[in-house]
Amino acid sequence: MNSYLQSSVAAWRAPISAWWVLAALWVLSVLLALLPAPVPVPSLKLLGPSLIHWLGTDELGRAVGYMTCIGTARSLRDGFAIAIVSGLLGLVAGAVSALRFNGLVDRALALVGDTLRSFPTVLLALLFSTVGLPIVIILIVLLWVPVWRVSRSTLAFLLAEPYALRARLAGQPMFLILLRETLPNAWPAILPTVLIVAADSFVALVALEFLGFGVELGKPSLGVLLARVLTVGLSAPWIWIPATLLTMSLVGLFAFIADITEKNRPGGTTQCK
Amino acid sequence: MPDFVMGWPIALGILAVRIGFSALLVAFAVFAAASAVPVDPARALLGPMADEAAVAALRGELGMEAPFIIQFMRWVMRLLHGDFGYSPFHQRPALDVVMDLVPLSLSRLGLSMGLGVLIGALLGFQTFSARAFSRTLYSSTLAVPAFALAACSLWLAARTFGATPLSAPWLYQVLTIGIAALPTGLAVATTLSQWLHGDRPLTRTRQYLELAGAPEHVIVRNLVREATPATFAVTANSIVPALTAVTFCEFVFSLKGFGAVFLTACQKSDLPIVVAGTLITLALLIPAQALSEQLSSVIGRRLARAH
Repeated sequence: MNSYLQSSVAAWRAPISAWWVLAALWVLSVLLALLPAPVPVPSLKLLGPSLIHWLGTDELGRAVGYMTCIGTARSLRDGFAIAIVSGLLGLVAGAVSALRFNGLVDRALALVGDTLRSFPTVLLALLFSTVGLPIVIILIVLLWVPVWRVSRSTLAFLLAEPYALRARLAGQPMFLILLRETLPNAWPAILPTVLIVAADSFVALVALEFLGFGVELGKPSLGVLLARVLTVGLSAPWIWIPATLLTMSLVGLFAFIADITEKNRPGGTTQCK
Repeated sequence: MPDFVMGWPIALGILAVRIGFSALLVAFAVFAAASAVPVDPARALLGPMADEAAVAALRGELGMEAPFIIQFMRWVMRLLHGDFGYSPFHQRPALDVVMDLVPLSLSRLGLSMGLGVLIGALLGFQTFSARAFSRTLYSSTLAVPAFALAACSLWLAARTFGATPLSAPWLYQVLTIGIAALPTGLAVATTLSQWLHGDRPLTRTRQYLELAGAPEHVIVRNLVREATPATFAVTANSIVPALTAVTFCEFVFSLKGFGAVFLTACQKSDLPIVVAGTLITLALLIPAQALSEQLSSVIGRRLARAH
């Protein structure tokens, strides 16, 4: 097992720096989200980009750059938090499924999971937002499924590996085998999925804000900035273009890091060549 | 006869159970959530100054005094009889509003997915012949949200052609189909490139062909045959992102369609439309998912046999 773990770490060395970048991004987003909301200055209404206001100002005279920065930070902070909580839920559910593979609990989880994932996340989140449920809770409930699927199959596969069987023969409890033997080897497969969940939750949060859900009055938000395309559109594109580009780039970056991590892990898609 | 055709009766039975269970689960979640809202419909209908006795009488008339589960069963029975409620914003039954628009959106969805498969096949083969293009770029592009693309397209179309959704609706129809074609196109291209490049576990047939020094076109033909079920499966799976894209594009471009009405209903808390739209979407998506799973199981069996 140790050599397998060592090879995992070795193959992971390159993409692991990308994970440090993400961790730094999250810490930065948590800190930036603490900044106060911008103060409207009526005399600075709808100014284009300049040296003083790099990204211009909006209809209330607030600096678009500052608002974009805080809005992105808030969405990222919430997106990562949702990914961590739903990742943990998915991992626990996956461990239960792996221990009782094809059992009653596993089948029940599969039925609920398949039902939840049959819907577009945003549309289902919208449905429950309409009746007033908190968006963060809705997304956690919806997004544990991908992590559950990956951890279930990975852990069930690893539980049948010789080192796990040896531990079972030695009389170790299943819980400990799962924790000590299989989980360390399952991380490289599970973490890219958690990142995809982070991207999903980030997109869902921005999409819901775009439609006016989960927006706190006066607080800058990426989705609200993006929605300005429907109101100010051509007349003040500097308000919504940075938010649009940032959303697209961040989601693309998440997918990129998840993809290279998946490719570089032992047993990943390129390892089969 | 292909494997997946032989098990159709059983598969259809499982599908029916799954659709029924999913519909019941979603309906229950919606009903429970709606019941948890601290608003008394009887009080809302009669106004804040209404007499307590009148409010209690109306509550009894509306069946709100019954236990939760009885209320839910009554609601489900109404849904089964096609009574999804009356939309206060459209002044029509919710089901009629949704059913009038679903064919239009479905035609956009169908066109976009057809276009997506075509583009994906072309890109996949191009990647195979060029052997240079990274599928990481495909996956990264695939993740870009549709509403952001729709926003950019709206601005670009208006700036470049001076065309607004009102003055040139056809242009925005084309843009909707193009944006919704992206998920299918990129998913098909990624899958094809994975199979054609041999990223997937190599099948024994391919190894034999390579060892036997078969010509390139024979290997390609073989690989394409191997890749076909996977391509169908991802096409069926991409119905979810494609539908999301059509919905958002219709909303952003103000096009007549299910998406615009559904998202506006969500914004205005028009629950009858939201419930009708959700359950109809469910009836559309679950069979697609089931088809995708069936095809995936075929791939699994073929791979297992090949090894």
